[in-house]
Amino acid sequence: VQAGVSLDSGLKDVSVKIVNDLASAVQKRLFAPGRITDYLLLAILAVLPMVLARSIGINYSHTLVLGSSKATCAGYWERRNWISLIVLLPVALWTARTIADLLFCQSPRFKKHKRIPDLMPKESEASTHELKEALQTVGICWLPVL
Amino acid sequence: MTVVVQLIDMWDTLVPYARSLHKASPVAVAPYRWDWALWFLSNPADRGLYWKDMGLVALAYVSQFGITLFAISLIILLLRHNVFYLRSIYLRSRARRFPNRPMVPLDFAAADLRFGLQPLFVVFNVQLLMLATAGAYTLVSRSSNSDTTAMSAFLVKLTSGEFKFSEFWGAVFGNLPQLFPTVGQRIFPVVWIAMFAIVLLPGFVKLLPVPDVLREDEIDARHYLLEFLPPDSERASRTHDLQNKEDVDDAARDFSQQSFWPVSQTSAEFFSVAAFFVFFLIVAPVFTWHPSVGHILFYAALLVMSFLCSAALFSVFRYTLRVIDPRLVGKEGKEK
Repeated sequence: VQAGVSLDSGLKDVSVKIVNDLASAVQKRLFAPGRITDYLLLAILAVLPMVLARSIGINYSHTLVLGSSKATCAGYWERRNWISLIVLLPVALWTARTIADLLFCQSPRFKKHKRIPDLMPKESEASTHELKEALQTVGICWLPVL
Repeated sequence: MTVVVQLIDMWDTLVPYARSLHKASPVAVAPYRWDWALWFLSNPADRGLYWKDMGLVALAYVSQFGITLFAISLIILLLRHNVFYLRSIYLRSRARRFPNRPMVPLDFAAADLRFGLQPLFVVFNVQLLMLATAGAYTLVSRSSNSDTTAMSAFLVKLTSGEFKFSEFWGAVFGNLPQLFPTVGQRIFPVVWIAMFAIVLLPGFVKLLPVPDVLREDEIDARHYLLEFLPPDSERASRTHDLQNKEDVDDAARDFSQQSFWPVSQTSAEFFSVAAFFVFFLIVAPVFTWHPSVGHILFYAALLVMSFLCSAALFSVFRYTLRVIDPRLVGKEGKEK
């Protein structure tokens, strides 16, 4: 029984580690200051459904008789919330990265702005540096141990 | 979390696909809101169209998954940052528990009336900006997706004398499926309120010692304020830990004048009113290019409700301090 319990707990530890590592990797990739191609790829990703919608003929609305009544099926190109993704998707990634950078000091870009550790007493400068590091890690990882 | 939100949002679309897959000869019935995602219902017998439309749904929702992922990640970042901020404020009980953790002592006498946290204004203002942007996007999505015809009709009739008040409840509660046609649309107000709460978290800075102080036998301004003062701070040394009543009064007065929120009290209250107003608009996104008097009255009513909600929220903050000791909220019971 003890061996079973230990195996269970071992498996749990491994699965938590896998989820943690995977989520951390995704977060790290997501918030790391990125290349311009990331934004371009996202815009292309949002354009693809427009192309597919056109190829199956549902880019614009169609009114059809279904059963005994008339019904209108709204086209993809007429849905503002879907079309706007072409712009919103890259903008959202840029916003997420910029805010992560600003709050968690990911790069020297916003060096002149103060963060919480900058207001800590001077005598704990070494600890402040550690804390700054921890703050960055906290920002990046999903399941941190703080 | 993103996957769960995405699945909830896709639920209304996935169900017809699943049903159609198991039916030998599916019958075409138009759904309440029929759009490109269920285009295959135009010819249910065409399995080619079924799979192509499913491909379109998959592609489109991958993009939407991206937006959801970025939004949730950003919300979690803000949550982590603001929790970190609250955890970094100096409290004596904390310093005893974590003697090696560096903390930020609050300066009661700070000229910026923000406990000396003015230098952090950018990191808090950017959160407001983000909340405003998210609000704009949410409103665009809500106005595109919800059908507010019944509410608009009621508002037009409002000033004509033909309306019955009972129609108002019908226009709101009788039209919930039209106002919130998809699960995703129902999630928006919840997410908005959650984001608002996260961005407002730093406002709890003055209330941080409440749980510790409430556990003690003696609850008064002196014990409360001492929690914020490091023993080696200038004020604590000069006053021997606020031994005299005058010293407590002085410290309480200085404390009461400081803002709840690091960016300033006025900003916090304005932001709170704006956030409640956007919340009410998200619930009932009645927009028109030609607003009637009824529409204008409706927006005015929402604004009044927002002021009341905001005032109630800050009253709760002040009341909590008042329960500890009325001196903590100043003579007028309001901070500058």
